[in-house]
Amino acid sequence: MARMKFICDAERCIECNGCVTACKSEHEVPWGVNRRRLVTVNDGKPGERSISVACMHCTDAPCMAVCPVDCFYKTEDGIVLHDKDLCVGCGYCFYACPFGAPQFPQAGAFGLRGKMDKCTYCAGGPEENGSAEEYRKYGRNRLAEGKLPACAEMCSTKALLAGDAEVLTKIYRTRVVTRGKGEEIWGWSMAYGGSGKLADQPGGKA
Amino acid sequence: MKKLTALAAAFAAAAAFTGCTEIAQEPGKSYAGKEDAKPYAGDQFKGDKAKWEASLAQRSQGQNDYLRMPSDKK
Amino acid sequence: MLLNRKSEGRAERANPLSRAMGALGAKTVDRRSFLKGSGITAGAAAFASQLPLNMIGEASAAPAAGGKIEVKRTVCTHCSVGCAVDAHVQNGVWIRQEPVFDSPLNLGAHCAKGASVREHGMTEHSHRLKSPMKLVDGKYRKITWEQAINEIGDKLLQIRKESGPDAVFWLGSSKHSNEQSYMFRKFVSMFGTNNMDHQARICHSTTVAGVANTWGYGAMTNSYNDLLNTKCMMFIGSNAAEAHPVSMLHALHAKETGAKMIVCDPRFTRTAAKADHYIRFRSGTDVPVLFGILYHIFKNGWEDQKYLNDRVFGMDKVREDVMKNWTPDKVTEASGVAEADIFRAAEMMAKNRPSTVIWCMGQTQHSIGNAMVRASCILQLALGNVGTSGGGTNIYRGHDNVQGATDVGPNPDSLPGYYGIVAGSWKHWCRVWGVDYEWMKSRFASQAMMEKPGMTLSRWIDGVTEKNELIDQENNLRAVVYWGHAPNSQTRGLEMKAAMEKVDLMVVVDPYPSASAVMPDRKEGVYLLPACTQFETSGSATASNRSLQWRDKVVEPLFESKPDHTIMYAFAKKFGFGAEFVKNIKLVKDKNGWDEPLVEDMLREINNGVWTIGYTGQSPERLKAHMRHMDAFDPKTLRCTKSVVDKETGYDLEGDYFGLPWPCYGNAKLKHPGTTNLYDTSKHVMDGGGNFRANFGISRDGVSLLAEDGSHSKGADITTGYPEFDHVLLKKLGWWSELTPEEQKEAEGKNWKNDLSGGIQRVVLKNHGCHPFGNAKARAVVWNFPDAIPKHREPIYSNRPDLVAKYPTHDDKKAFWRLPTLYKTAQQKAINDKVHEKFPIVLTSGRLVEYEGGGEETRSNAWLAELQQENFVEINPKDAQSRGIKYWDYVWVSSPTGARIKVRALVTERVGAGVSWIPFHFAGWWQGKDLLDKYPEGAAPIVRGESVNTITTYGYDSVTMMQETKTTLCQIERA
Repeated sequence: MARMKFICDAERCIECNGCVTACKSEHEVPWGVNRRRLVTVNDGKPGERSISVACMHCTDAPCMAVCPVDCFYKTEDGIVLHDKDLCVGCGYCFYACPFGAPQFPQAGAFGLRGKMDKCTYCAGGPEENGSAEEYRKYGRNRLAEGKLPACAEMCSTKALLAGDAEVLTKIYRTRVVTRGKGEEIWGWSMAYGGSGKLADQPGGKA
Repeated sequence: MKKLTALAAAFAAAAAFTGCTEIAQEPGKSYAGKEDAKPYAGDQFKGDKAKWEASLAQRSQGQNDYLRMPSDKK
Repeated sequence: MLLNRKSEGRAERANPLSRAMGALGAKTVDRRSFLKGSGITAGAAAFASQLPLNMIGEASAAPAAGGKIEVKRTVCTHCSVGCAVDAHVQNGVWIRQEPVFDSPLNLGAHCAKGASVREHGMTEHSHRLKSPMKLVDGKYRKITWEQAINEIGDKLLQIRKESGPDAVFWLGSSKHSNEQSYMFRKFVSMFGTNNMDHQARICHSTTVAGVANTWGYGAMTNSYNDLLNTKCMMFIGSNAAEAHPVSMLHALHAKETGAKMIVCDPRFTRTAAKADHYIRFRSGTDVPVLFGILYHIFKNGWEDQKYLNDRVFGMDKVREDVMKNWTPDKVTEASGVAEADIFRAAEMMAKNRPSTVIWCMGQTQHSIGNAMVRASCILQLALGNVGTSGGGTNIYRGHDNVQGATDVGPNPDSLPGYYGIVAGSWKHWCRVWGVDYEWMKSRFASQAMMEKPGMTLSRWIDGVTEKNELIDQENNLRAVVYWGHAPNSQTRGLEMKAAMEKVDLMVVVDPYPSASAVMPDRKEGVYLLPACTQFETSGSATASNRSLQWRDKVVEPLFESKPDHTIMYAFAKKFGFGAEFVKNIKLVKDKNGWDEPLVEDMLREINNGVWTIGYTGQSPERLKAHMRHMDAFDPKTLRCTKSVVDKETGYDLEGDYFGLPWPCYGNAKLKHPGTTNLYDTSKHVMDGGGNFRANFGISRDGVSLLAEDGSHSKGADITTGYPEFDHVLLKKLGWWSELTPEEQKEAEGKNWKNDLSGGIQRVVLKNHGCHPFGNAKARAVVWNFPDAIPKHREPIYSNRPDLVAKYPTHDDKKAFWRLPTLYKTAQQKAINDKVHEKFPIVLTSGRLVEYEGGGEETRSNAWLAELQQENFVEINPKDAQSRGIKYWDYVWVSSPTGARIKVRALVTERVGAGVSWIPFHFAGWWQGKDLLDKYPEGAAPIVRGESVNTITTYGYDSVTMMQETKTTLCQIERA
């Protein structure tokens, strides 16, 4: 069974924002809502590194745990999705999320929070696959078309990888072995538990 | 990179994560919303999961620059 | 730091990620995350709050029942990497874009711009110029196309009659396709002037001149892909991570497989962040840095002596100069770089060969740009790195087709294919165009004006405002046509505004109004004509690596826009040379009944005429076959090594390099594969091999300029140096009989450049393995340039009077590209006025990854605009502190021109103390004021800001008139 994950290779990320606009274009995400974004440390100094961050589709997803209306579910491929018809926009998931993934479009004249929106791993939501309704609420369902998330597929340096964990770690392993560094995968222990070291992942060993 | 890793570890502690293995969180556990169809349920794959997985696997290799640009360095 | 937008009182609560990131140190705020948190613009409200609660998007691209989805293959229009895009079109609407993993150039990868090109096809929320507009009493009013062509045409004809054809200046475009830029050269020629130019002037003109004069052709010698074969790459004056992001896929892959990476730049760029060795140097001192490296190479005997003996002329003189003038103490004094850092770079380049040098506008945009680029060439020659895979000078061009527009487009001193503008060149092109030379001559003011290089776009403003007796043409300019060109990319904004206000007529042809529409304070005399983008037409574009790619038309022209070639033909008819303009080109009716010249026929005409640089083999059929079979090409070599037959044409791609990178000699039938690495003697010429060009005579000071014995391309029948081929040489060698009788008839009296039969090239290449342009040595000494050996000269506005005394600029020039040009007078005046005391901070400018060029198009794209909402100046913490400037304060940046701009302060160590940096993509503000009201309704870009070029100063390259933007002076104070 597939287990979908993201890897962002900090040795390769050049903070070009390709992932961000790929997401915007594919789902027509409105201004002010950022399903994916870049985080940079040591900006402008030696040691500068950037990471592309979105919902990591955690193994033990804290958003699911705290949701008062139980609108989250997880697909059999490990993707964390939610039902916008149920969401009340309370924002608990935002506070719980270690990656700052949940987004709340401004709605109405009184600064009310709209329904929560976040990265769907390009897997849509609980509407008919590929339907207009699914598109309006959640965006494209690329997974149902046999494709991977647009952000990773279009990454300028192939820093951001998406797909089945085992396949990803194999791709990533080739790089790590070739260049001899970057064995820890950013964010993995936080999202998926365990050590976050490549060697500890399925497919991460020779 | 080291800093980032340390940071990742710090998050893990702060969020009090304990899991080392994949924990299943399938719909139905405490999910109150509409049921979602399987990704391979639509017109394109007509429920053929193997075919769908093969498509994803092939697509994954688009992210693997070493496939078309193999390294001489082993 | 907040990672997402602040809103609804949650601003004070940072999420756990941001808290933890903050814990890494207080300095984690970067320009982008700050911008996202910096407030919601009016645009945000318009986009987000009108949506129903549970929706994310409007249904403009929603899946619709019915309507077959067509896939059109196109190429991103935002830089010269040439990233392929598959556009999904349903019912005539571009609904999605998919990555093209098969492309050997980008393997599916995109930066922010490439991933967002679908926005060009969207009609909702579009900020395009939607119909022709005319400025009436200070407001833009809609008019019809017919009215526009007639009124503008009448006015231009009147100016032509009263003041001559040279009274109009035409700014063409590097965003035109090859076919359009080629037609634009022809169009303006038939109007009767050489007063035309395009972006290459302010992009790589110094490169083209410097590099071509060194070894033959002025382009990137290798390719982005060839970085995969290098062992060391040195970026000097290139911030590829922001300007050419997808090239970093190859650079970082190479680095992973062991290549070393050096970055030399006054700024610690995002590219520098990936380097093994970073050198921060004083802006404008590229020659000291490069020759400082060369010093260590000579001192340690690391130069390639056999290569220098066989293939290079004049290196001994350079060596003498370098060892005497660029000792480590002098290098450090001028550039501020420690000897150890320079030595390390030299050692890395020498001990990891093949090594390559990469540059962009950091080297070109100086008053001595021509010397800087030659210093880079000389370094590569000394190391024997040119003409080898993994080596070369990888010169990254800017716009998607700036290479092609340079090759075949509107240059003021050359006809398509670098033929020059002497009588023989005109006769060649008149033959290709099918027009009479005498008629062509009659279009110009005189034969002298026909053969006099026009003004450059960097100086057109002086053509308007300079005293008439000082300019080298009859009358001053009275009209300017901005045809696909932003004004805010050119320096001296203050004086440009005055020039724009002085001309009788301004015409803007562009998909967007551009800053031209709003800069001048005019009541009338401005027309805006909507051109469509490259996604609404078809045609070829030449990427930086000289590969041509064919774009399918994705959607029909949006709104009332028309393709540039259709607009050109409409004006040609109005001007009375419609028939001559399209003599060999079929016309097709568009949906409004307008005549559109057939794009394929335009390319065929290029194929028929551009023999000099091998644009003859790239037939539309071959290019289209390449686009359909991108997976057949190996990304490491760009070659197709097995038989792959295209079904539609029956064409077999075997042996071809992707996109038939020029030179692709002979006609298409010869099946030359194109040339991926120039001057490579290890390959046969019919496999893309070559050698340096014989273009500078055959001897100099009694020394032969031809290559030495044994130095020739693989398999050549002539195993020593030889001159270029013409009918005489062919006859002498006894090869003439190998031409067919038809070829003989055409080739009689001709040479390899003007034999339209292609027979000379065929026989030389295929039968004898020789190079049509001869086999000579590269020139380390370019005796026809102001400084035959590159010399350091301080910029016009220098912060170091002591160094100006040692390294003064050139003497003034009287009639240079038709204009008087100041060097010493301007530099000395700045010293006398103590400008460096009043304006002590060095000002340099550059690119952001989200925007392109003048930025109008990309700042109108919501997905990009959201990421960079305000212009800013990078300022070092020391300079900020001493001025009481805090992060993201508004500041005034002022310059010696008297202009000032209001931007945000980005306090960062990315720039050193005493240095500031401003991105050049912004416009729409003028000295503190937002010009929103002046735009045609609904066509203002989403993000507007101050243009850095409002304050930039005087200063031009001594060969090409490149503007000096990379080193000038400014002062910064809190607003």
